[in-house]
Amino acid sequence: MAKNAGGLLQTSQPFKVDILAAPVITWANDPDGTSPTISGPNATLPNPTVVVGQQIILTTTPTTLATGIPIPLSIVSSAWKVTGGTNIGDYQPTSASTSVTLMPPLNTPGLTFYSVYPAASVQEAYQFCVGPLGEDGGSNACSPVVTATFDVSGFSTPAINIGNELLANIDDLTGCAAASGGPTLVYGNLRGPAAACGVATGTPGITFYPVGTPPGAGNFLFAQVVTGDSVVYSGASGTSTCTATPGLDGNYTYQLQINPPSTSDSPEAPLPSTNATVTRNFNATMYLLWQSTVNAKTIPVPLGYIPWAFNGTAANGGTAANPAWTASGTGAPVMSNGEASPDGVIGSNDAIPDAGSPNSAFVPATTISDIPGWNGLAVPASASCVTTTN
Amino acid sequence: MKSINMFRKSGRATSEFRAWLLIWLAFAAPALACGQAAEQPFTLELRANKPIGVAGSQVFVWVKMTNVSDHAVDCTEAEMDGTLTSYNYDVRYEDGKSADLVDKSLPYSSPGHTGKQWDKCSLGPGKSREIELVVSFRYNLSKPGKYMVQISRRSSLDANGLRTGDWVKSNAITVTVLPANDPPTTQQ
Repeated sequence: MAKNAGGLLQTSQPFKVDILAAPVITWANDPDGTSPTISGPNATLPNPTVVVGQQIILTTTPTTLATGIPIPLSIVSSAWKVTGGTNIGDYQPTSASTSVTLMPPLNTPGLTFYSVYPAASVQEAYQFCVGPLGEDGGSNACSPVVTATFDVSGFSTPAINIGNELLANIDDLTGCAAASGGPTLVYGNLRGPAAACGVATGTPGITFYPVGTPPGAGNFLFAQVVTGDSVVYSGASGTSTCTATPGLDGNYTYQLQINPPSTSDSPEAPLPSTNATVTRNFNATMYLLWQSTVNAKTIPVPLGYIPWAFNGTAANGGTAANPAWTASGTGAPVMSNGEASPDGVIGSNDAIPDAGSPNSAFVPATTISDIPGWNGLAVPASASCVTTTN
Repeated sequence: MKSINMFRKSGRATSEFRAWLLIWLAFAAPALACGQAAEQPFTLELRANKPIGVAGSQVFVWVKMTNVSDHAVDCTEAEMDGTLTSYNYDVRYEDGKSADLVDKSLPYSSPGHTGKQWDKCSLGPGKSREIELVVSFRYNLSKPGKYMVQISRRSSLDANGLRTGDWVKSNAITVTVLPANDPPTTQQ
């Protein structure tokens, strides 16, 4: 009799294993709370369906072997093999940081994971081995391999529609004790208080609309990552360049919104009158995510993202005492070739949501690397300014 | 004898006064306290998700805003230089002195400042929302030690959108910042 070489999940094993019954895989956290068995011919729920981001907890039996066996045996190893779908161990974003936890160890009797994207068949094969066998105590025998299969449902055609794409404007915002207010370079067109003073009204520079039919109850979420942000101030005395450090924009979720019909951005920069020009180049990636509410154990999953940019310049045609600012520039989604998307032609000022769906700059999320991650908030440009004097 | 009667009468009066005082304390005082609280349309509850931070890293706190009025209240946020300026921040060292501001030129008179207005937000009666605030963009928390953090927010907006009204204050919490070479191994 040949000894098992030790490899788990081998379908053709050199060691005869008929003495071991096939293990049974149980779905421990099914929405109905019945913990059905999902493997083998006697499965109470064969081929179940989950939605993207729904936690899957699998347990197996046996976890110990019956006593009274002539040879003292115990389970010495367990092994899972997951095929199909895109699966991770966890994803719990916060404003402070987030990262993807890859699949957990596959050598335990249980398995907890999430499928991120739709998949027709995500198979979880399981096998355990017992030992020791033989006088040298070095051989194991392994159970038959059993398999459970999940269908993972999700969005079929998610997208982000884009609206507005206004020109840059000079808006005279109202100051207060906390902020001086005054002329401000705004992507959009605002009136009322400066950001530190109150709530302005008007039209944001760019608006993002979530699109798609969800696989069940859940919420759209946005998260925006700043990929580049600089402000350059030029005046008679020299040039100051202030550069932000990339990171999450503001908060997770973006603007703390849950299932918003839309969200927007209107980056702005106050204009000190001692400068002749102020130029802001802002680059960000807006992610669209969705989180099922099938139960409390779900994670947000990415649907896709849209890179976009705002490039605006304010020029002071007056003096420091009597500034006269004019603005140029606009913003738009940026396609993979670096150009503005067709509906976001530089210079347009349509203030009308794009007809295209999805916006041509939209990139559907398909891989683990498409899951947004960050290590803290973007550090504002004011924290890093370099001045060159004339 | 007269004095005794008077004393007894006075004692009865004292007892009656005490009884009324107890009744007032039991019912009227809490009602008055509620009345005072009701003047503030919302409450702010501050907590530290991680009471221990590391010097040089971003330090966050959480604030839960709860509408305790019978009408919707504004919860719109705005930010300047990464800090949510809808709140006023009071960050102090353990000895009570105010912690150092990152930017001594506030209110935003120097170049480099950037900001944005968030979408309009309205919080219905009885509703709450919790938001993560970064404190270390406004205050320099790079010096290891304990910091007391308290925030406040104006209670209302005027017709022009300017924040006005009384300041609604949060509770004060303590955040401990450890040296960068001595990162925390456990959370408090």
